This record gives sequence, structure tokens and C-alpha cells, in this order.
Amino acid sequence: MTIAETKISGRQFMYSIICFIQASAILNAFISNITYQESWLVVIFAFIIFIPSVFMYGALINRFKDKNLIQIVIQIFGPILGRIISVIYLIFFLSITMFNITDLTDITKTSMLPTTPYIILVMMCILITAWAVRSGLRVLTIYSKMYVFLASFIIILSIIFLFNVIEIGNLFPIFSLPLKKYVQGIHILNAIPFGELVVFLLIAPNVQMNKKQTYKYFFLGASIGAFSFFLTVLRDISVLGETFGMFVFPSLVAFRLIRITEAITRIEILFIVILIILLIFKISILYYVTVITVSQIFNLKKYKNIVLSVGFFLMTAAIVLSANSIQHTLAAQNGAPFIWVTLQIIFPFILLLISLIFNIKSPKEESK
Amino acid sequence: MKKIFILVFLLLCSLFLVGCWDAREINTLFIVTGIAIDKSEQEGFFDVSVIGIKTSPSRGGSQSSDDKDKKIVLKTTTRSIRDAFFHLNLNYDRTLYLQHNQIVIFGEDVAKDDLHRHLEFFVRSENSRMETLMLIVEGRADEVFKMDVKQEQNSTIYLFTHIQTISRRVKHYKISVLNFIANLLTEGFHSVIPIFAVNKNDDDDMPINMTGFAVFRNNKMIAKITDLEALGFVLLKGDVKNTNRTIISYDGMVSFDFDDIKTKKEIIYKDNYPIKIKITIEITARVEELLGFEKYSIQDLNRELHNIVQQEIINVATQTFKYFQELKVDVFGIGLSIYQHHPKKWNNLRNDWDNIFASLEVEINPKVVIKDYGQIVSIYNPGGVK
Repeated sequence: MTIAETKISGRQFMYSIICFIQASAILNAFISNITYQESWLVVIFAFIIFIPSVFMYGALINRFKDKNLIQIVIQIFGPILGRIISVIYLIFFLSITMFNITDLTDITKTSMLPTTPYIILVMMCILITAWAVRSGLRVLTIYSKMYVFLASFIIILSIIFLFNVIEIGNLFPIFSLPLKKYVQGIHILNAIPFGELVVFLLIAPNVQMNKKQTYKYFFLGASIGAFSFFLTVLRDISVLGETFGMFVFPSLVAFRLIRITEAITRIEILFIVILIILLIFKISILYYVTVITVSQIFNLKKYKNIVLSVGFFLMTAAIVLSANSIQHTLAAQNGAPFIWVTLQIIFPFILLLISLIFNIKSPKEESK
Repeated sequence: MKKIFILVFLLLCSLFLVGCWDAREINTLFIVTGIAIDKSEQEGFFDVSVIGIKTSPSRGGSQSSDDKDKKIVLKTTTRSIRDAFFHLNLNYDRTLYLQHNQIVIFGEDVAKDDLHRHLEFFVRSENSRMETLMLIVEGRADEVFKMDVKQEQNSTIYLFTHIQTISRRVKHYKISVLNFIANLLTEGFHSVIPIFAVNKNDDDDMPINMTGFAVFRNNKMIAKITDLEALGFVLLKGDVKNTNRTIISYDGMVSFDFDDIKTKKEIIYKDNYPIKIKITIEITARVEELLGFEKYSIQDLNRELHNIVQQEIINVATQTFKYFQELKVDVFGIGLSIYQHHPKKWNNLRNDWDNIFASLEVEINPKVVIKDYGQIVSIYNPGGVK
């Protein structure tokens, strides 16, 4: 049984995955000062390494067709241990939602509203996303296709507009860094953004797709998202060169360099608008997943009643615990990936392994 | 109804909660178009001048006398750039607005001292833009603000337009804060910035002249290249749309336009150690002015001009390269090329690169195609001009 009644199509699911990765892709500062001009290479390796995880998620979805991640955990580990593990997942979902709210408010403050109080920006973000979450998954994901096309269009347009300042030489040398830097970069990218796709295990029961389509849409979504990420990093490095590792928002600096005669300048607003759209989408998904997890842990029948309460908690937490951009990047580089990867990749793998060994399936699958 | 209420509520929120703090009215802003930084007479202090345009509500009718002098210059002396802006904001009725700043100008003394300490603010500040152009001025930078420019609203807009125009032909004339910082961070590469001189002659409507390039070793200006070396630098760098050179030989004088200059560099190694650099300069030349050369037939003239221009390129490029070798600054990115394509070799060369660069043997191979003689096919010499 799923808490949310609405169903979305497989394609909507795929576009949501793409949007989700694109939102993180634009904020590529996590690895920029670790792997510098070789970050584009790290994106490729990280995605190749992440591909088995995509199929693992697919296998888990197919094995427990009508259950989300929390329900799978409770089914496999029992109500007590299962709920304890679910609380850990809840903390994880709350953390990434908070991190993304911080990202959104940071870029809004940096680029548009420098003197607007943080609390107002967070409040607006929570109000809009709460509205979206209350409207349900279908409403939440209905515009994902449009966002993907819009974001992709702007990425391609920016590459064309920046063509005169692109230096291919900036992408070299390759394999000049110590091995541990590549490992660290790949590890971070496997946690942010690729590993974050674990949240889609909570949405999957509400998606109308067969077994084959599960793999297809998950893989296509992740691949197109990763390709957008790759293009973004490639563009930023080739434009910014050695300064790529310096900036909190490298893409914003790259966009500011667009100058097509005197008429087309200062079009970074395009970047900011699309980033805000994508981040609002991502926060909405994360917020939705957090609400679903709370509902599941406390066995609630309707999730809508707790949307505002969770939102209020998120707002307070984002304000109280918000770090500055350096602390945020350091947390994303050092602490978070180690804990997150456990929940994003290792734990789902354990779940799949146990379900295979003990032949645990959802009741629907068993009856087939 | 409920949805409409929420929508109206959110719209009102965005109207009343957000706009208040970031409201910026044009009549409260001082729109900065240029910043000049000079050394102060006081040790450790700097003179920071900003120039802006006078903003006033638009009026119909003819231009009033007030509109003719639209520049305002503010000046302060502080230890840092941030201090300067703080001080100016405190003592001026409007808030300095940096988003439209076009140029940062450094006096020669500041450039010779330490440019990086002044750039930190421009890189860090959220109000500053990294594409802002940089240039060095011989003498004091604030002299630029005193210039009387007739074509534009103020001298920095004039300079900005000037650099934009000339950089369409030679892109190396345009160095932004981002370019310079990137060059500083790049291994095996030193940077140059265009250098200008203010024309003190009041009768001249060209108030400022570009004199060449300021050469930097890391963050300090160590030399200035003008005329011949400036041309040589442009030829050796390549990726140039158009430049020109007038050559005087025994037989006459010829002015060439050089189009689409492309440069290829090949490094010759011996035991993993670079010993020689072969530079191929591809140029499409056009004859723009030709005096003399009467004794040549059209076929011979073509051969002779070809030889003259080839020899000139070899001389200019070799002389310029040797000059930079004496300075021990690799502004051509030869070290960078090794770093990008052979990072392992570079690891062994990195620490001694300036000396290795200075000892490189250089071979210049010009490949010139004279494509155009203008609209006449014969040698123009109606009165037998000698």
C-alpha cells in the first residue's frame, strides 16, 4: 500500500530524475577545488561507477513493486529495527533537503537579493514547495519535462554564446593528479548528485511502469542527467580555466562572461532563473520524500496533514543550522559523502542481497 | 477559491517581503564605470579613484548645459580597496554601484609593486564582475579620469569602447580580471596587460594612446614592450584577426595588413628536456600601400614582397622572443603547453622553467600568402615619386 494515491508515468519519472541531477549539476563546486580542470574526467568515471547502482535501484523497485524504500526496510528488518533504520533515512532526507534549501537561498542572495534576510528566502521556499508537496506527486512532476528542456536549452545556448571564450586547452592535462584525488572526486559525485537518486525509491511505487521500463527510465534519466552535468562541467572548465576551483558558483561566473555584441550581455539571469526552478523542483521532491518517510514511520494514513509541520521543522533547521558556503562545500566534500554513500548505495545493496538470499518479495510479486 | 487565496498570498509575500530590502532606486546609486588605483605618498596607502556617470531623470527637449558634463570623480586614500569603497559610501550621498564597472586601471607604480593584493577584492566581491577589463597606465592611473573625451560620456567608457574595438582585431589587447587571475594561477605561463599613456596635449582629440604591453612575472610588472616587441608578441601569440606593418626596404616602402595570423609551436626535446622551439606563423597578407619598387615587374614584385615580409616576420619574431628570453618570462605558453600535454615531463621542469625557457633555441618559420594587392594591378607611380 502506498500513502500517496496519485500515479505518474514512467516518462515523468525519467524527467524528474534528469531534473534532479541537473539541479545539482549546475552547482558543481563540490569537486571543482579537488579535481580542478580534470573534473570533467571525474564526472565520466563517477557515472560509469554509478551505473551498477542504477540497476540495483531498478532491481529493488521491481522486486518490491508496490513498496517504497521505507516499507521495504520495515518488511525486511521488522517493525522495530526497520523503524530505527527508517529514522536514520529520515535524518538523511532532512539533511539533503536542508542543504538544498541553503544552496537555493545562497545563490538567490549572491545573485539577486543580497540584503533580503535569510529567513524570508527560506520561508518563501518552504511555502512554495509545501504547496507543491500538498498537491501530490502528479502535480509535483507534471512540469519536469518542461524544466528538463528549458535547462538543456540554456546549457546548450550558453555553450554557443561562450564559444569565443572557450579554451579547449584548459581541459588538460589529464591524469596529472594523485590517485586519491580521483577517488575522492568520484566518491563525492557518487554521493552528490548521483547517490541522491536513492530518493526515487520512495516515489517508485507511484510510477506506472513495467519491469523493463523501470530499468530503462531509471538508466535513461540518470544518463541524460549525468550528460548535462558533464556538459556543464566541461563548459565551466574550458571557460574559467585555472579559476574553476576558486568560485562558489563557477557556472554563474561563466554565464557572466557571455557577451554577444553590446545587446546580449548580463544574461546570467537565465542561469539564475533556471537554477531556482530546478532547485525548487529538487527541494519539492526531497520535501515530499521526507514527508512520506515521516508518514511511513508513524504509520499515518494521509501525508498531507503533516506537510506544513515538516516544512516548519525544515525552515527552522535550515535557518539554525545553515552554514556559510565554505562550510557547506567542506561538509559536502569531507563528512557527508562517507555517511551518505552508506545510505545511498551500500544499504540498498544489503537490502537487495537479503531479499535475494531469503527470497523476500512484496506480496504482489510473490502471488505472480 | 482556496488556490486563488494562496496564490494572492504568495504574490503579496514576494511583493512585501522581498523587495523592501533589495530595493535600489537609480537616484540613490552612483553607477561606477571605472576605478583607478595608484600608490599614495603615504607608505602602505593607495589612492583609489572612481568615476561614474551622472544619472538624472530623462527630460524632453534639447540637452541642457548640465548634461554636457556627466562625469563625477570620487577619490579617497586607504589601505585596501574595500576600505576605499566603505569610505566613499560613508562620505557620499549615493551608494556606489559596481555592477556596471567597465575598467580597473592601475598606475605603473602599483603594477610594479603587487597587483594581486588589489585584485583580491574584485575576485571576492559579489558586487564586482570578473569580466571587467584591466589596464595599466604609464604614470598615474587617475590621470585617465581627467581626460576630456568628446565622443563618450566619460574617459572609462571611451577606453572601454576603444579596447572593445581594437580587441576585435587583436584579442590579446583585452585582458579581464578573470583572464589575469587565470593566467596567474596557470603553470608555465606569464601574463601581459595592455599599457596606455595619457596624452597631455590639450589640442589633441585622442586623449590616450595604447603604447604596448606591460609584462608581468607573477603579480609584478617587470617590463614594458612597445612597437616592435608588441608586434612580435602579437605575431608569436597568434590567433589574431588583423594587424599591420610598414616595411622600408632599399627599393621602397610597403604597408601590409596581416590577416588571420595563426601560430603553431613545436617543442623539440632531447632526453626529455626541451632544447628548441619551432614556431610556424601563418599569415595572409594584403598590400595596402606601396611606394617605390618601380624596377620590378608584377611577377618579380610578388616574389620580392614575399621575401621582404618573410624576412621581416623572422626578424621581428626572433628579436621579440629573445627579448622575452632575456626577461626570463614565458608569455607564449610554451611551459603551459608542456604542462598540458606532457605533465610528467613538466614535473621535472617546473621549478627551473624560467631558465630553461631562456636557454631554448628558437626557429621561426613564417608561411605568408600575399592574397591581395588592392584594386590596382600595376605599380602606382604617376609622377615618378622616388
